[in-house]
Amino acid sequence: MSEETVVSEGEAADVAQRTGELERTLGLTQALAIGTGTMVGAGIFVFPGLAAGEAGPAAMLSFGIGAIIALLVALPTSELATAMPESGGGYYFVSRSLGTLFGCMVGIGQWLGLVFASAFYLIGFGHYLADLVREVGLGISVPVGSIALGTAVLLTGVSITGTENTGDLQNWIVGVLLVILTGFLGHGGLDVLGILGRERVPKTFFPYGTMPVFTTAALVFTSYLGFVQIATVAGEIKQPSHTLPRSMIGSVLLVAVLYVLTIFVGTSLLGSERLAELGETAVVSVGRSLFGTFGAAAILGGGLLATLSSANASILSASRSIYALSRDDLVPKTVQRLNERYRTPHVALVLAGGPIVGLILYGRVEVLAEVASLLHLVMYGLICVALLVLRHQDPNDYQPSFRCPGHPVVPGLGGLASFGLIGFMNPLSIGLGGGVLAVAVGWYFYYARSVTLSEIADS
Amino acid sequence: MTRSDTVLSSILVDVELPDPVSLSPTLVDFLASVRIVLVGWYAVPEQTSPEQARDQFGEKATAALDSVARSFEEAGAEVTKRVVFTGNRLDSISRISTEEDCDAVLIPAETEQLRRILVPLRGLPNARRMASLVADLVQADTSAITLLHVVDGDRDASLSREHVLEPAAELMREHGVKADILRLETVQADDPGERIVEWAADADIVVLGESEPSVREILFGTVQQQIVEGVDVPGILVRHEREGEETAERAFHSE
Repeated sequence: MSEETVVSEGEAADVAQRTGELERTLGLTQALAIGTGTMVGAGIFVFPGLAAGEAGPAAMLSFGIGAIIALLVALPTSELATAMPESGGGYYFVSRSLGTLFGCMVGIGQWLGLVFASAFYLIGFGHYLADLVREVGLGISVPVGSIALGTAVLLTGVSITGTENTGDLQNWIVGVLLVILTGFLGHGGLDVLGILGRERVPKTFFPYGTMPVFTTAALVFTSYLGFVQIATVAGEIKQPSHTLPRSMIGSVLLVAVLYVLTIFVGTSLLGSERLAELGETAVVSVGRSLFGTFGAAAILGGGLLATLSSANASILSASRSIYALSRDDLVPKTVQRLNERYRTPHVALVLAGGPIVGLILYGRVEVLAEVASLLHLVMYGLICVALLVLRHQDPNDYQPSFRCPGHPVVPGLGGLASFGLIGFMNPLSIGLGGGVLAVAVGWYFYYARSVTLSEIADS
Repeated sequence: MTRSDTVLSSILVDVELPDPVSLSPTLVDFLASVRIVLVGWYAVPEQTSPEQARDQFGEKATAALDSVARSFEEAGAEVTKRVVFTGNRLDSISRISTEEDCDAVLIPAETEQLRRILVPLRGLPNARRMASLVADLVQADTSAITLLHVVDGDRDASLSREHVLEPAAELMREHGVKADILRLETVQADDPGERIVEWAADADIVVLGESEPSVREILFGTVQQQIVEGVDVPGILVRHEREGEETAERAFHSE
């Protein structure tokens, strides 16, 4: 700990003399809330119906596979993040170890990956709001797409003009969600195991065979994108060597348990076919079958909060990714300009929010989710490679305070699994994701080829 | 670890950048006799990376703080400048007050004269630090330093003078405060904060001790916050001395 202080102060002293110091304001709770808040929207509130429809109760395994891959990547990411607690996260690690070309792919991939993810969450939000209107019985059907579009514009606008800090709000949202989910899943789990009611564990675990377990794992991997966003704000985290590994690994474990339980309770209570019919908002019916109208209302409310919070967190993270690229001159400096009045990165926020609108118009939830996952999986794989390279080269300024256990097996498996999971996606998603990466490579040759990056420890 | 008397007391003064609220010249003159740790904080919303804000606003912020620093330097103060880009002002003040080992934190307010100093006491912890700070602040025209011991309504106040006020006054005299401007007062109150606010109406500045372990908690703390919000004169919050020091002090007094 003391070492860390000395290094950061020494480095800070020089810059601070000229233009000021940077406060680290995020503690462990906030870091966990960022990770959990970005992830929890998808896995519980959007995917269960889709996943159960494809893999049946074995979708539990799909979420489990996702969790294992996420953990295999979270460990190397933790090591890299404690060695380089800088803003930029995955982009920073990869660009500093594998060079500008891979840096461009990861940086642009992370930005657009989050854009795809945010569009996906917003469509989920649209489904929940439409469901709510239906439940209340207003007798009008609200088009999901229009809600999602309006919300995308609204969120971007609020991010630009809102100067109230919503960090505490984010903590509260995550807290409320965890309370709701613990109640439901705890009660539901005991219920279906026969402890509180009649035993209802489904008889066929693999109604559609084992292959869909893997394709579903690829589909639902969007539920595990959030932990790496913690590394993106590593420069703002207090005691980074303590907080980063705990918050990244902790948030993955937390959401993984919730996801697996949700599928278990859902498929046990309603069955896979019924969940699939209910689609994006299937868990509302799970809530109703457990606690009646109150249950449905609580899950509806939770779904609205969770999808909105995930969408918002993704927009903010995307803007940070753009800043990281611009700081290194891989994109024009103008994109990092802050609004003089609101002090918010209005150009970057529009570059994050704008494409979301286009993607919502396109509207295919599965494809949006898979492209978001694909772009992140490429980054995850490259993060693992980055660790292998850095450990091999062992540069002097590489001084992680957390060391990834099981080296080189853990990062090796993490890299293979990340790239491997892409193979189970549908061809359209692979095509689109590959297209984005090709554009990133093109951008490198067109614009960023001559850029020289700073050293690892230099900011 | 006793602080040598040759070390000047230090007060943290924070101002918002890039447009600092101007401090009254009387207050600047009054504080010129101690070391000023001038913290300029630039509020960064959570959508923005503090680094990004520094890239763009750093120079303007530094220049703004320099001009505030000049007013202190012209009044004769020794000034340490810190500019910080922060999402949480309290985090920054609390961190820097520890790093710079500040004795106190200023709560500024408009003021015309600074001749009567009120020092509410709830006991003796911190008294040494308060004494040396007050001694450094005393000016030729200081007319009164009132040591006000506030005793909870249901406690015995008869030993207040002997156990708290006299030892505190003795510490002040040891640090060079003239005996004839010291006033010793004991009051009993069910609501100490409210009573201190009443007394503050007849004072020009209030020097408060920190009963919680950190500046953050004082700024949020109960009694102190009530006082800070209640009085309309400037306040100086004296930071808690280090834990070991305090424990030693307590052991000494219980003997």
